[in-house]
Amino acid sequence: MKYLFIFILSICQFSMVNAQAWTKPKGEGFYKLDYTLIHTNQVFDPGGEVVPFRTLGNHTFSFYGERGITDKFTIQAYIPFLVRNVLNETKGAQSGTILEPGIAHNNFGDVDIAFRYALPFGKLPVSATLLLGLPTGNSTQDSGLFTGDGEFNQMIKLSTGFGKTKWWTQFGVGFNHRTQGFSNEIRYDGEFGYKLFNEKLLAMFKLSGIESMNNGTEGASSTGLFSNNVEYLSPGLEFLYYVKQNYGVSFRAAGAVKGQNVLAAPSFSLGIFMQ
Amino acid sequence: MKHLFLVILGISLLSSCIGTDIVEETEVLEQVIISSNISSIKIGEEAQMEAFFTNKYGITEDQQIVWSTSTPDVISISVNGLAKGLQQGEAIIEGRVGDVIGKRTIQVSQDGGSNTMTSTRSGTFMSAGAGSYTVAGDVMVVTEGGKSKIVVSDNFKSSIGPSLYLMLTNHTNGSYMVMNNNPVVNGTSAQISNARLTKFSGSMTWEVPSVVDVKSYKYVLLYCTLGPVFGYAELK
Repeated sequence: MKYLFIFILSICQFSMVNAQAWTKPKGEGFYKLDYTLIHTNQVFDPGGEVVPFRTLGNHTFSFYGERGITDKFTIQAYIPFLVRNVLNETKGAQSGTILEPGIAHNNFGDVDIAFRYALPFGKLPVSATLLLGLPTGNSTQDSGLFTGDGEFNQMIKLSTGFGKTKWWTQFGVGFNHRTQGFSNEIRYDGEFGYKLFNEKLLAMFKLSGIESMNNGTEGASSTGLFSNNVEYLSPGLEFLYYVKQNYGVSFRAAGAVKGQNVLAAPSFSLGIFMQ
Repeated sequence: MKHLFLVILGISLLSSCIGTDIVEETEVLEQVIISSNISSIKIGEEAQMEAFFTNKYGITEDQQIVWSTSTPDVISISVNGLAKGLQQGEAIIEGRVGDVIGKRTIQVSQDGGSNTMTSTRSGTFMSAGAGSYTVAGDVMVVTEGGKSKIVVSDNFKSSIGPSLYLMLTNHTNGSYMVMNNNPVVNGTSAQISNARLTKFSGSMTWEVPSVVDVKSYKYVLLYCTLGPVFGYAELK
């Protein structure tokens, strides 16, 4: 089971790098430390039905950063430096016997590196992103509580958006090529953001999704329920509150309204950021 | 900022411990399971019989096994289960806990010969109804010369699962014990595959661990240790 865990990784990564029609001005950056929690006992199975599951918890501590190298070129990194996966023990209701012991694994996750370039499309901001998913996580544990998928993926994505003083919106769509027999994916997202309280609070509604092309091999699928042929449509809310001009706190909640091979549960994130 | 960091750390520590899922259990027959894979011995040869008792939830309990033989002239057995071949013939060794009895037929011969008895039970997989997970195809449990194997046919096909194990069971509700590379055997189930399956269709064969008496189980079953039973075949 690159279990839910890969799903979680997917959704975390995607939340981190979504939309982003604009590049950062040269020398400017945005950096964030984040804790994300998913805890559930239900999944969307391969047919999209919600079925009961042994209770799983995923705890991801990550760093996200982006920095403008030039006004038109930004680099990004998502580094899940600690991923803790927890599987509950099972206990017989009548006999009181522990049937299966619980499992917990801590490890490094899969790192994403991305390069975003502003394309010359007149006044409309359009950017192209090349994202490289590095197999730095663990994908070999017998228990299946993996923290990485073991494959090197490459995503090309186009994003655009527009905005006014108080609000903005942006959209993106990408093609994710996966190796090691994993199915390729179409990833998409949209975002609407609004600035409140004299721009101290940014409120964002996000919608992101993955459509699998289901063209992977059986071998890749067997490595984990959530590693291959993952699909979801996930709405979410994110808030960034500036405590001071250059740093603040963040909160994000996202769920899946439809899915395939993913957890049927919301994710919650708390973080601190600076820019 | 420091306080927020501590709050986040506290939440993560509190929520990241291993919890407990309660699973409803189905009652099964109490059993004495003879785990010694002995079906024939030579005249004068000794063999240590082993057995364990499982309660109505299939859980192994530490109980004193009382041993006896149907034909003391052919095989003798001590209170500790040490059997000895005395003359050519056949005897049924019984291990008893109260009214619960486990039996094993043992042949005695001059040369210790091999057990040539063959038995086959078969069934057809059906899905267990857990979402869209499906299993189909034919399965046979074949016992030859005291050794058993489980064979699925070319038409076998299962949904892909991340932690799927082949089991022999006495019910289909999913309250089983599984241990990677250390198969668990009790009155509810016997784990047949050592590790999670990585192939999900076509003909395959699994050797049944010698401690497993296949006659003690009603179903061949595919169980995902993360939750659902994918499917099972009732053996006939």
